[in-house]
Amino acid sequence: MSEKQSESLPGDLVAMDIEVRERREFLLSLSKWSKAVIGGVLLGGALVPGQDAKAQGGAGVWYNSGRGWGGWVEGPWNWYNRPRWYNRPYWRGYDWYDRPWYNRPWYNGGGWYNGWYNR
Amino acid sequence: MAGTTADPSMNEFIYEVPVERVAAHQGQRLIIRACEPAALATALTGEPPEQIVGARLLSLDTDSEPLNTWAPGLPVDLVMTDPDTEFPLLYRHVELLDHHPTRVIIPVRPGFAKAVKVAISLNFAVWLEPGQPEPALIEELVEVMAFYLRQPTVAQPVEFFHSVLLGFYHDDPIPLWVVLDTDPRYLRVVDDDGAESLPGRLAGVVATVAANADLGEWIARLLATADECQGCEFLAGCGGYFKWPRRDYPCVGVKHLFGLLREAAAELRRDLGSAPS
Repeated sequence: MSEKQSESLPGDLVAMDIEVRERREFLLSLSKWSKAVIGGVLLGGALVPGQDAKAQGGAGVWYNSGRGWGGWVEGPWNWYNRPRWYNRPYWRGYDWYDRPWYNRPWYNGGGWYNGWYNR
Repeated sequence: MAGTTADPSMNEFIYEVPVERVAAHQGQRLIIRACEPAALATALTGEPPEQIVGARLLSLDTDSEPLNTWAPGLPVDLVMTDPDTEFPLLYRHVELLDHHPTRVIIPVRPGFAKAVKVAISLNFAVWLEPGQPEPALIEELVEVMAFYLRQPTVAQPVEFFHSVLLGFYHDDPIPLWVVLDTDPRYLRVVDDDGAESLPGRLAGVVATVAANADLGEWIARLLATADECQGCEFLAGCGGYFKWPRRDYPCVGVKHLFGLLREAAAELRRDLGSAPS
C-alpha cells in the first residue's frame, strides 16, 4: 500500500494495516510457516471495521466474530460464490500481490475489502 | 430426480453440467465442464456471463489458450485424473492464471504429492480430492500437509488443509462438504445423459432430508450417521465426509490428519501470541 493510500484510510484502518503487517513480518521471520498459511491466518476473513456486514451480489451475508475472523452465515457456501483464495493476496516471490480480479459480482461480494492491507 | 427431495429451492442450486447440456439449463447458475477448452469458448459465447459461475476442464492434455480471453475472471478448475503422469501437463496451462482464478483438482492417488508440488510451484491453488485414503496415502497426505504448512515458498492454499487449519485456528470449523464443494444444499451434478444427482461422493444417494434443511440437519440426519461419527472430536470440521461412499471406512488415518492440523493451528496461535506488540 502506498503512503498516499495509507493516508487516505480512516485511523482504525491504518492501525489495522500496521498491526497486520507487523504480525506478518513476525511470522515470516520465524521461517516455519508457508506464505499460504500466513496469508490465510492474517488476511483471510478479515472484515474491515465499520464495513457493512452485508455482502453484495447475492454472495451471502458476512459476520464478524470480533476476533478478526468472519464467516458467511448465509449460503451459497462454495468455491464459486464466496470470496476465497482467488481474490486474496498471494506472495509472488518478492512482495504480496493483490490480484486485480475483474470484479465479477458473483465471487467478489461488494463488502469484501482486500485492496490495502497486504502491501 | 435422484438424490433430491421435493425441490422448491430449485433456482438456488448451482448445476454442474456438460457443455453439451447448457441449453437445457437456461436461467440456472452453472458450472460447465468440458474436455476441450475450445468447446467452452465457442458454445458459451451467447450465454449471460452472470449465469456461468465456473468452468471445469476435464482434460489437461489440451490447449487452454481459447479460455484466456473468454469470460475474464471466471474461476477455472483443471481436473487431473492421474497425478503421477499428468503433472507435466500443468505447464501448458500457466497462462490461465493471468486471466482466471485457477485451481488444480488433484485426486489423492499414489504419486499425487509430486503433482501438488508442481502445481504450487506454478502458482496454482490446489484442491485435493481425498477419496477415502488408505494408510499409504495417509502417509503421503502427511508429507503434503507438511509441505503446505512449512515450506516458506508455498503461497497458494492446498485444500482441504487450508480451510481446516483456519477452522481450528479461529475455532470456527467449516464442514468438508463446504470446503470441498460438495454441499448438498446448493450443488447438483448433471451427467452426460441429463440425469441429476447430488454432488461428488454423494452421487446416487437418495436423500431423505428436506430441501430447505440447513447443512447441520443434513449432517445430523444423513451425512454423519455412521457409528464412528457419533462423538467424534472432529465432526464439526468433517461432517461425516470421509464416511462416503464406503460407510465402513475406518477414520483412524484421517483423524490423524485433523489432529495434525489442530496442533498446527495451536502452534500458530502460540507463535502469534509471542509476537512483539
